[in-house]
Amino acid sequence: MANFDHRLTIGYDIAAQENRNLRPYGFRAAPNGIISDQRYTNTMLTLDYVGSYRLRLAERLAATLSFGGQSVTHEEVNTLAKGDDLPGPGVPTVSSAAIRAGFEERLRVVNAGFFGQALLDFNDRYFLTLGMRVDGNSAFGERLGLQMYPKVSASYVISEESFWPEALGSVKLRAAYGQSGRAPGAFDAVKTWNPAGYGTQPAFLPENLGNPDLGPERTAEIEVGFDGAFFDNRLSAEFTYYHQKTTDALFPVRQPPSAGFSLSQLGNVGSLKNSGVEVALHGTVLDRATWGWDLGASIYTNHSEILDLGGASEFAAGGGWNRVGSPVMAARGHMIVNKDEKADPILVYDTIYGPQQPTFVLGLHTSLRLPYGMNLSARGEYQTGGWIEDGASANALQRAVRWPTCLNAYRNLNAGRREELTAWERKMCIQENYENDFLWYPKTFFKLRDVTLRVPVDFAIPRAASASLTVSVRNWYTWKHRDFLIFDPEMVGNDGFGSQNTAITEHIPPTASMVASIRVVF
Amino acid sequence: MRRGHGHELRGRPEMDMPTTRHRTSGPATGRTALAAVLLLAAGACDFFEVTNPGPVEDRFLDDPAAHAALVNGAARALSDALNNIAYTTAAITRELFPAGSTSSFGITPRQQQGILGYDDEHTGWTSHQRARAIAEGGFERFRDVLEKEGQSVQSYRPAAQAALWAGYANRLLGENFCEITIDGGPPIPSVEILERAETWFTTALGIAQEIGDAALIHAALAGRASVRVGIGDWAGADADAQQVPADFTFEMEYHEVETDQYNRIYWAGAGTPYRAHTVWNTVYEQYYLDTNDPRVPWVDTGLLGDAAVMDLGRVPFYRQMKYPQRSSNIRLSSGPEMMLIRAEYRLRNGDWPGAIDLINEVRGAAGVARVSAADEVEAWTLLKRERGIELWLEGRRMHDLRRWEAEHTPGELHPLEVPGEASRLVPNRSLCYQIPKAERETNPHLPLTP
Repeated sequence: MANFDHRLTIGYDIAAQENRNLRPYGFRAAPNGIISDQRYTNTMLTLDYVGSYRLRLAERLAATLSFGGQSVTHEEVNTLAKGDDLPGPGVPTVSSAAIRAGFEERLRVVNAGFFGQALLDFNDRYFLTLGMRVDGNSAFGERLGLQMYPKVSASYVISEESFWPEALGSVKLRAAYGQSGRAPGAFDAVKTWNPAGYGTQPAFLPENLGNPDLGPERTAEIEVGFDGAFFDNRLSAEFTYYHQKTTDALFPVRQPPSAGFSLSQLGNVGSLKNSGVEVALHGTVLDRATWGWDLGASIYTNHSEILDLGGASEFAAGGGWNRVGSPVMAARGHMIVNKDEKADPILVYDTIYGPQQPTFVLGLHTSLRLPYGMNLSARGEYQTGGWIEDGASANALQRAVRWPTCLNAYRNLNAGRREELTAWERKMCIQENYENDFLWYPKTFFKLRDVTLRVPVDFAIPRAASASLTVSVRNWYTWKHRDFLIFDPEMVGNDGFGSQNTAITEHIPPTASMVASIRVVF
Repeated sequence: MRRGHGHELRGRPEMDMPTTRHRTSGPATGRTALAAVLLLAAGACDFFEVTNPGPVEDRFLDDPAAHAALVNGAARALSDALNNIAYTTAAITRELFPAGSTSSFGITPRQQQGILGYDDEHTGWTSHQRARAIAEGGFERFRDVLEKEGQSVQSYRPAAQAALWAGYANRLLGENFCEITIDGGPPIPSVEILERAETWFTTALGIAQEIGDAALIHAALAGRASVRVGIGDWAGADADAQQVPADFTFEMEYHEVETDQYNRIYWAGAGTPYRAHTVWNTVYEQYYLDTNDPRVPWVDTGLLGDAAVMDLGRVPFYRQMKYPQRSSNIRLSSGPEMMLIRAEYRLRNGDWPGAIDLINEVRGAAGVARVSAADEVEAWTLLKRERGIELWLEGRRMHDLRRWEAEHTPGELHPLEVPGEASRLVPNRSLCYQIPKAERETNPHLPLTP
């Protein structure tokens, strides 16, 4: 059938990580030696089929009917071998250790769904899409079964109308409403125990409390905006406003330790909203035969808020704090109100600093097209609105390690001028006063992500169809807010793949680098 | 994947597989779609099977074959709790002096000054509660399972063990926390938790007597005697204590299999890499030099602690040797402790010479010189000192100090274990843990801060 298209996509992703840690025999801080090897494998098999059938219902009315299904099979394997007490010098393996232990975790879950959709096109000017998606997940349990998510969207090429002045360029208006869902994990509903062992005896410890009433969270989103091209397409603009409301939001809710099951239990807790705008502009400022100048910018904003918690008290989850009226998974800690004053600190405990993720991201890029085919481009990014905790400084300061952020305090203390210390220094730089959870920094910064010069060099390489030399410097310059005392705002925690935790702990930030490359085509 | 082995969690999505139902069209609609359908249908039986090997579903623990492991789980959780309590309270009471590390195996800056903050880590609260919940829940599970079979829990050995661990878990909570919550409920005074412990020890004792297990009987009696001290039932404590042999010992086990099961006091001073505590500047430093009492051994390593402490800088690292190995056990109850309970009961009844006799019986068994007192106050001082020596690093000292302070008992404590310049303990030194932050943030019956 000429109008019937099929698309089958099979994807297989594998990510593997090996963390090997060796403190050899004679190591100063572990004289007997310690060795561990952790291997983490994450595989994802994706099957995706889409069929589309195009038909013309009338002279000016066309339709495209689409349907299909997806399945995502996710497998995780995490193994750790650990050994203490190495026999002596040499290159050891875990098997070399006198005391050995092994740990293994495995998980395999499947999510699957199918959808149907109809796109109506009237006169190549008015477009209407109606669709329904049905998802299934074993965690929904017998009571919930399949979940249906409808969507509807419309777009209108208003610049095709006769009343639209040609000088205003071309504009398409669009609006959409849709629902989507996120399933709980396949085993979150089940109460389980962890066979942990005690010495050489088998033992069970509580693991997952289980929640048989778990369901998917449901997000309804409204989106309106336009796409435009102006001044003979020298300026293009896209604008989108979005507003999402999530109900039955899934959070890993911590349980009272006094109930015995201390791990977080996924629960459908309350509702939350997300809203913001996405703006993209790209313009050609100058366009000459041998040179030109392009400028572009993008803005992304996001503001989240917890609307209600279904009567539950505020709680920690996902590395942040959740309280009605605050951002989702907010940064919560203690605060020194008068941190810059030369006075004793005034402390406020358990306050919300703000979101952990940025609320405003400005991207800037420019490109200079130069004679002889040369090109110079630059890209930078400014972020603000988020907060990050400095765990590395906390680890040092609580151990009374001499630390760069306290150098001024040390000088004054050594000179017997305690009164010269700020409230912040009095709290954080004197060990007996030190407490955790005060070291939060505003994640406000600008980074010059990339500056690249590309120069054609085919003249220097015989028989080359083309050749170019590219020199890039990346992350070469960073500006930080004055209250961001040390380290980099893009450091992350040591929490494995896909971590959203941005705490300053053990991982290095994106490196500053310079790369030179030559590309030759014969 | 393996099928039907053990207690793997398995589930099957409730949805019907769409691609097996929704044929796209007839043969002419395309080979790719047909291939997709065949591909999925071929593996349909196993393809949508989800597995999570390892965790065991709760219902499988009804199987009597799993009961011993459930009891072991309570023991492991309790060993973890005792590990934390014995270590941290040793610093608070100056059984040990802080010598550096402040984090994972360390003593926090506030704890170094004697303050137990509600937001401290390593309070043992979670492990305590886990041990209590496993043991109490296990007992109830055993009872229900047996009743369904027409049997009684009163002659079921795992039930006696579960009740015993429930007793010791409640004892640790009651002795060391100012208030306690149970199962996410409102706070309860610690004495009520000690009464709860007493009930569990009585339950354990009844079953142990039914099955004739002497070790369990003595462990239950010794546990009950010790909680009756906290409740104030001295006659009951004395009666129980008299039934426990002088050489009886009941210990919490520690193991070399993984760091979580190491004896924490040993490991925090093993130099791999921690040298977080020292016997330097404690009562036991000089006492051991004077007496060579084997109950409080330590050695001068010639090293310093692993980091600066307060304004003292690095301090001498004198390693405790009561726990010389990763797998050194910690006593939960003992005959000598029973003897000292009986001694204190005599003191409280005015029979201070009788108390000194019992103290000297304990000292004689340890091979150290006898002591003598001129009056009741001196006898109290000696009793307080002897309990410190006998129960050194067993997680009991803080409760002793707390109850003696609350009752204003006579007798003096050494300057190195009371607030002051010598001990570096602040005047408002803690003698019990607050309900910790982790509970406050999750229990609606509690304010976020004390």
